[in-house]
Amino acid sequence: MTALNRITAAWIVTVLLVFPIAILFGILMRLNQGNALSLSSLTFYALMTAHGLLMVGIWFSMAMAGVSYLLQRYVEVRTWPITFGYVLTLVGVVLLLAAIFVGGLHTGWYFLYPLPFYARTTSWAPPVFLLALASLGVAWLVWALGLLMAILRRYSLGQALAWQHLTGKTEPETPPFILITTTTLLGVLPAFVAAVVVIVLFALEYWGGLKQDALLMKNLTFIFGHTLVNEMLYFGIATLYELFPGLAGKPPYKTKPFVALAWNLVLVVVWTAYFHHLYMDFVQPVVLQYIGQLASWIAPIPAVAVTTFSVLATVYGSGMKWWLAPTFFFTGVMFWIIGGFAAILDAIVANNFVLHNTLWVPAHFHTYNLLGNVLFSLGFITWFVREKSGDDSGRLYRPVATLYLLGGTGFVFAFYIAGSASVMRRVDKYPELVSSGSLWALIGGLFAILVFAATLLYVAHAIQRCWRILAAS
Amino acid sequence: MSQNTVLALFLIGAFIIAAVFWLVWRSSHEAAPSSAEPLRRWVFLGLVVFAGIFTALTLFRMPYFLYADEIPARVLHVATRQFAFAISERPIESDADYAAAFAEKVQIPVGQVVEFRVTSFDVNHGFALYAPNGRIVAQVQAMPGYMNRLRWRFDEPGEYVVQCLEYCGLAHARMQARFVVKGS
Ligand code: HEM
Ligand SMILES: [Cu+2]
Ligand SMILES: [Cu+2]
Repeated sequence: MTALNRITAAWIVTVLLVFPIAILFGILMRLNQGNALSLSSLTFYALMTAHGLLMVGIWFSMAMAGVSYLLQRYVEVRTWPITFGYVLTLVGVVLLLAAIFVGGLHTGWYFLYPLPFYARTTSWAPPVFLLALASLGVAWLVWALGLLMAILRRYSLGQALAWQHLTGKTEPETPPFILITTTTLLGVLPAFVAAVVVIVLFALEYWGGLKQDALLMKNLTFIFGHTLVNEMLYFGIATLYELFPGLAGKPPYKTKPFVALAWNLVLVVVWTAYFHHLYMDFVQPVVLQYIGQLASWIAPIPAVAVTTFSVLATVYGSGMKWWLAPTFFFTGVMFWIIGGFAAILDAIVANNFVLHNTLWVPAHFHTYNLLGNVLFSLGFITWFVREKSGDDSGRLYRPVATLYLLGGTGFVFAFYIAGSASVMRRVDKYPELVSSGSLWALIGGLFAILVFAATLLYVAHAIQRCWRILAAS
Repeated sequence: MSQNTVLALFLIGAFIIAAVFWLVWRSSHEAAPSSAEPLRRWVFLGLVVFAGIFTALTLFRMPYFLYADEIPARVLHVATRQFAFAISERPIESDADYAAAFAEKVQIPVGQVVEFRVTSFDVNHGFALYAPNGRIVAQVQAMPGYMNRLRWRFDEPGEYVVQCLEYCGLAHARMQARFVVKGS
């Protein structure tokens, strides 16, 4: 299993090296919005594009890397799809950064057709950008299929989805980790398919002059963007299910009938929730808007009733020992549902009418990413480091947890307050119309510096330990 | 719901969630074995009721049908292009129409239903109406190849700002238009 150790350690080192840089981009953006800096519009939007893509890229990869490592507890994991994913992801990221910082591409991490054709860049940047996205898509698709095949060599599809548990049978047993990983791997596949279709349609217009339909392209873009980010969180939840009970000194979670039902429901509901990104496109068929609101509200019910409840019940009166890993998981769940609550408030069409594309959106997705999904991955990393080196990062516990959580909370609240005051997202300098935006940007930026400090402390520690694993093998 | 109501609801919800987590975290410092399992069905039921009430209250208040059974007092055509809004009482179909629209001074009477027919000549833009108090009151997307219809009744007179609300390129932040809503 040393090959698996090695690729996992390599992912950790890579992700942790990129993370502080991406945070720095975020801080620069916030300080620019707060008028403490004066970047050109092009620099701002290049930073925004790079920040979004790097963050989504590294944390999606890290979530999959954690799941890949833990999967060996149940099935035989071959490392080549993970290594393939690693190499192609790096290629994709290098191409992306070149397109952005050399080519001047500044479309945002997701972009709506036909913006790339109208954004003033060098002529080579858009095709290189599309190539880079294709490379990420192939990397993750092969990796995901590799994991799926590993599961299906041991379990039938029905077993992997715990269908036998639906009827109350307990044999053969499907561990929750296998169930959640399978639904997530299946769930994310349409995202990759949609990405490929979008890229091909862009290419058809770029080289073939074939005009595309803007509404269709927007639907495809969000099948990709929404589904990818949503499923990334569920990989984190799978890791949590696998590790958290042990960290609390309790026996592993079991797949009960409602657990099986909840995750099978999630698998399907997630695919239709993306409609909430198109509420303000009044030409979208209205029935899809109704489905969007209903799906957005149904999806979190099982997640909350099953995952959150189980985590709280595990901790309640447990007498467990708190260190960095369980703290990351526990607070991650808390912010995951706080951010989720903000998200479903915005997923009500009548509310979206006044919140769409305001800072309310980065407010909620930073809550369940920076303070949710990232913490699940950091929980895994901290646990992995202790497994391999015996070091439980004890000295870091207080400073890292305090700075990260305090800074993160202040940072997202500045977004919430500005968003509810109609300050728009994706804006480099706030127009006079929403002048309160700059004050909140400055406050948010200062809190983000605390997160940056915590991250540096943690990263220096974890990278050293993982580097030794790499060097030893 | 107004933005303030949403913010208040969110803060209350976030506070309750944080309080529950904090209490559970505190309880963990001493071992007191007990099972919370019987509570699970009540939590689930509570969530379903909560979601049901919210859905019932909001699902049928969709902006697509605002003033659907009224005849708008005025129809305004909106065409967007990086980085401006052309607004006119006449349809905007050509470059000449587009250019001519900027000479028009748009005035909207207070308290009457107006229909905006919004489209784009290049990329996606957003068409957001900011009231004189600086808050968004309504919005719709401007999408190339499509015409979005938004009906709205302005009950407050004053100067309104139309702000682009979909990232459309380097000058996105500065893409604005203005019009006056006149009292009768
Ligand atoms: C302290 C850490 C972070 C800081 C300071 C930060 C800052 C920012 C800022 C200022 C924006 C632009 C908001 C706007 O005006 O529209 C932004 C956007 C974004 N951030 Fe972060 N962020 C942080 C962490 C994260 C994390 C952990 C993730 C994801 C996993 C993430 C993903 C994104 C994405 C996807 C966007 C949207 C980019 C776009 O609109 O194209 N960020 N962030
Ligand atoms: Cu615009
Ligand atoms: Cu714009």
